[in-house]
Amino acid sequence: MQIDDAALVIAGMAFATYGVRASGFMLAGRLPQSGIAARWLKQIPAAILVSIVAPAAVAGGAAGLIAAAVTVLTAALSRNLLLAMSAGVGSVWLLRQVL
Amino acid sequence: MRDILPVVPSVAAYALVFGMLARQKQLSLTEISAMSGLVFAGSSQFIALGLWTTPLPLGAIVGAVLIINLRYVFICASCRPLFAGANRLPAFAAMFFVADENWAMTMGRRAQGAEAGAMHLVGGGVLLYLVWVLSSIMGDAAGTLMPDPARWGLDFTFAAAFLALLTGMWRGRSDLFPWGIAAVCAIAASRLLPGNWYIILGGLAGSISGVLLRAD
Repeated sequence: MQIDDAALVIAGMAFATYGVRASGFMLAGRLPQSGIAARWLKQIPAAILVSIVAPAAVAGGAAGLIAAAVTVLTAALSRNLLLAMSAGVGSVWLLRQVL
Repeated sequence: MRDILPVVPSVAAYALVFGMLARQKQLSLTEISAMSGLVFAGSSQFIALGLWTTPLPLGAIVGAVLIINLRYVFICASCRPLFAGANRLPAFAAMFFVADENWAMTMGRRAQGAEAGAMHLVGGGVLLYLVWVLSSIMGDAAGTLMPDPARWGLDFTFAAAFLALLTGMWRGRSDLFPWGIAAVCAIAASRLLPGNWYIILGGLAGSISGVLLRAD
């Protein structure tokens, strides 16, 4: 019955994941589209991205932190996403060879 | 769709690794493609493989997946303004294609004042979806030749993409405090709590302090 169990687990994973995605969208629809709730929704992207990136950069040690600084600097100067990403990935690769 | 291309190589690399690990865990090709095709959420699929033993712990796997993906409550909530005036059914269908990377790209473009709406989000999502599913299958076929994304710095791609997008979202000093609070809370939580509660806690702390501290 291994195969049936696996199908059940995968179905459960799919329902849980889509359920989370749909419920966030649904809940936001119940919030007022102006005022404090709308302001809060606007603040979410940057706050979530900072929360994903900051621990990752710190966990990467010196290489992670320096590469993060290189990425931000390149992005600020060039306003070019691909260039900034290449600079970040390239410098983390280089720093890991050196450090 | 063009905006999402920079992250495609690393998404493909992670899906390859996923397919290979899944094969090692004795998952069939059908099961691998079903998981990637129906779940479409990378980190939670890796967690599931980590818990994949005989007999399969259904509750533990689904519970872990739920917790890992809880951030999508806020991520998908923040997508609501993109679908103002849109029909409910396609809008809810679109939520399936919301992943960290295409969501971040769309929000980054919007912060720069570009015309990036629902189609930008879904277009990037569909492309990522195809890459994710096809590379998972290729990973299963590739067998034991395991690539190490960290060796090429590919594990840093997502951090680099998000950092570059954040740089574009920066609106000046008023961002310093909320972003700092998000960073400090996330770093502390990542060390003290299991899973990725840190994304939710940092995101909540940063967005709430942003509402309290910022004028707009």
